[in-house]
Amino acid sequence: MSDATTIDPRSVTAPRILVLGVGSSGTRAVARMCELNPGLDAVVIDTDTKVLEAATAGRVIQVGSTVTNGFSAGGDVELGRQSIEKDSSAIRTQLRRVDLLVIVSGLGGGTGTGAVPVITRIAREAGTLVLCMLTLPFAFEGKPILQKAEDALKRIRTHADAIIRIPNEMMVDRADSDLPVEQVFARSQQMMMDGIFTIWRMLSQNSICGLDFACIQTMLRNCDGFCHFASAEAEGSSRSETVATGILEHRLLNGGKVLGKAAGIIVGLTGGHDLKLSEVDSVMNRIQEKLPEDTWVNFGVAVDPAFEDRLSAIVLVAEEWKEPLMDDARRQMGFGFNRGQGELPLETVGKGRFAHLDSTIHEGQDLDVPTYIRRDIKLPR
Amino acid sequence: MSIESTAVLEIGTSTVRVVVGELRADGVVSVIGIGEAESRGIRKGEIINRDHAIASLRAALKAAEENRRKSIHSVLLITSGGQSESKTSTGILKLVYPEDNQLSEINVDDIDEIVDLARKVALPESRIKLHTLQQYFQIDDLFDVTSPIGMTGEELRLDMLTIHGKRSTVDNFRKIVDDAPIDCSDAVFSGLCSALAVLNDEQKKAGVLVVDIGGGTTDFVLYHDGLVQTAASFAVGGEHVTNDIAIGLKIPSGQAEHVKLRDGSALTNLMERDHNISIPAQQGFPGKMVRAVTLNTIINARMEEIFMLVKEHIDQHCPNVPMSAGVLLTGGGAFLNGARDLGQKVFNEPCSYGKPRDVQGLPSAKDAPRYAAHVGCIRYAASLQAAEEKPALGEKLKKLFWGGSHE
Repeated sequence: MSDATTIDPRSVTAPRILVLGVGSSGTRAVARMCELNPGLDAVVIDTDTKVLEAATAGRVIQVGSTVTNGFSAGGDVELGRQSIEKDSSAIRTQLRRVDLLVIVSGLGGGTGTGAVPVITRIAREAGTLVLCMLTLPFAFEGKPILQKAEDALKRIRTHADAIIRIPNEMMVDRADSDLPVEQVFARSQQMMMDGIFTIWRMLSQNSICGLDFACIQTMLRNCDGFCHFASAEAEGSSRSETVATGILEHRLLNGGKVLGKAAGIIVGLTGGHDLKLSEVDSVMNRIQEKLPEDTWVNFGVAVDPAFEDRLSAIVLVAEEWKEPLMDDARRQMGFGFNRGQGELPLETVGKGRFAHLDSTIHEGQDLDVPTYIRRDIKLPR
Repeated sequence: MSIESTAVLEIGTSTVRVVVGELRADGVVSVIGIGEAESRGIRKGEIINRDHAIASLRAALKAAEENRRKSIHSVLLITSGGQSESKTSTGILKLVYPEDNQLSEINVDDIDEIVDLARKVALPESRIKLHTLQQYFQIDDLFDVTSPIGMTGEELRLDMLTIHGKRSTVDNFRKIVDDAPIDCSDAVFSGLCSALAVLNDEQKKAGVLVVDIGGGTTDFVLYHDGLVQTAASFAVGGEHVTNDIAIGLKIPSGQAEHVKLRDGSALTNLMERDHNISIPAQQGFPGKMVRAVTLNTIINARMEEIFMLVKEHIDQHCPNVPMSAGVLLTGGGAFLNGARDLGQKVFNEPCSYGKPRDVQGLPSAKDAPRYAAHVGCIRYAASLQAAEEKPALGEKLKKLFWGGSHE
């Protein structure tokens, strides 16, 4: 395990992204990612020593050695929670100077389900932006497990900036009945990996245009809850077509239906030096056709020599935006930015119980009107 | 000299409170009776329903009389005076008479004369003088003299700070007290009272700001060098916070008040950010869940504005007055989680709750800051009585105050 406090001098100014695999499935996924991409800054956390031993890459933290004695949490959420709380200082150390924390975990088990809510809270306290990529159990795993995952999601949602759900159930369809089980799980791992790699590439490699940390931050800060995510990759001459189709018909986007309701979207494209403008143009056009008119679109292109003759795309779709509560209040008040000349706010909504009293005017402001309305402060919902 | 007990009355926006107490010879205020009633008919420190206000006043008086087991005949009225303001005026006295053509020593009579001169302040018809407080003397080009007796010079100047309130507000309050019926002996500025209760001489010298956030008004007094530098009052207080919450969260104001006291914080804390608060159902209100961050954003905006109003006023009227003893908060509106920390942030000075010093007989130490104005008013009354009984002590008192509300 390397020391968390020593930072690569290059990354001092760059935003630091940490990928955190929690629980057995998270650990496996992150370990695999590290093998493929040794540059990734990753930490894995689990209670089970067996799983941790198998994870060769990345930094390893064993939690709850006194709680589970090195075994897994055995599907007990409470044990998972206790384990992480016993060793929370190790997590805090890891989170030092991290700007974006990506938590990868599978819900429904013990360690991941119990620990992720705690980790998100710790990260929030540390002021880190938190993006969770969580797989949800198959339907055949049974109601109690699904319920456990749902409960954990609710708790995670209160602290995470964004959650990307990857329901295992959506990873398969009828045509896949012959698929080996191993591959099904590998598929959801692959899905997470694609996403994390692309985000990581966007932020740390030489992206030529657009997407930077602030974009992701704006998106995450504003989407308030669940994000959808999809990725596609293709090679050859018709790659742009294939990629666009792949995104639009992606399983996790519910066959593209999610795009129709999208409020915000981040599109990240990665290609080699041979990436052409026409290709970027065609992918973006295909996606934008599906989007509602007022969608906030942000896109970035990264060039990676390894992607010669290839094109990979991810989209991060935010469904709901925090509608600023302010807006309604201001509309009622007539306090709009574009209030017509000479128009006085006749309505006294907003003054509440002070409506029919002499107003307290201080430097042209009516102090009886709530401060947040006068100062245009957005109320988080 | 027998100790006379004083009854003081504050008709606040949220509570009407009568406190009876006396200043003992050892300088400790002993509270011997307290009466409280929920205030009705008052908004932002002004009367909007006279009948309700009188009823609340009578209820509070009755409670105090029962508590003290003695009837109350005369009260001192604490008022924030409907947006009080302060104004500095200067009196000038020539010490050299052409006949003798020599410097004369300043004596007590000179001081009396210049105080009388300086106290004469022309105020608009709509304003009423609440207090005149003596500031610095100036002898020729020697500034900031606090006691010039025995010094010589050609010309003596004296600055006076006049705290004046809205005549209609003060008169209306006096009238409802008279109609209660009870004799109202004087009206006193509440900010000054709070300051008197919580400050000791050392703090007054070092420089200290006392902010009294009440239900409907915020009063403040700035001391430095043992003298009041400025004082004022704004018609914004704790009720505005409640009102903002009621509007912002769309909940009834009763619930808003409750949630403000229970869960509200003047700071938007990242840790508390996503903590959910349930607002229970009430008749005609189906109940609601809100996020702590929403609630705290609303409170934070208002409380910060209240502090900023005070800060702006001070920066405008007496900038660069050191506040080495920090900022002291009193009054019910200041009892919000995080108000102290926010005050510290805004004023960039240490901020704490001001507790009345040397006082006995208050219900609990925790609640003591709510009684700051009353305790201070008892001190004030005692100092006035002493001045009448022992005019020789007048010199000492000149340092403190001059006169009452009567012009």
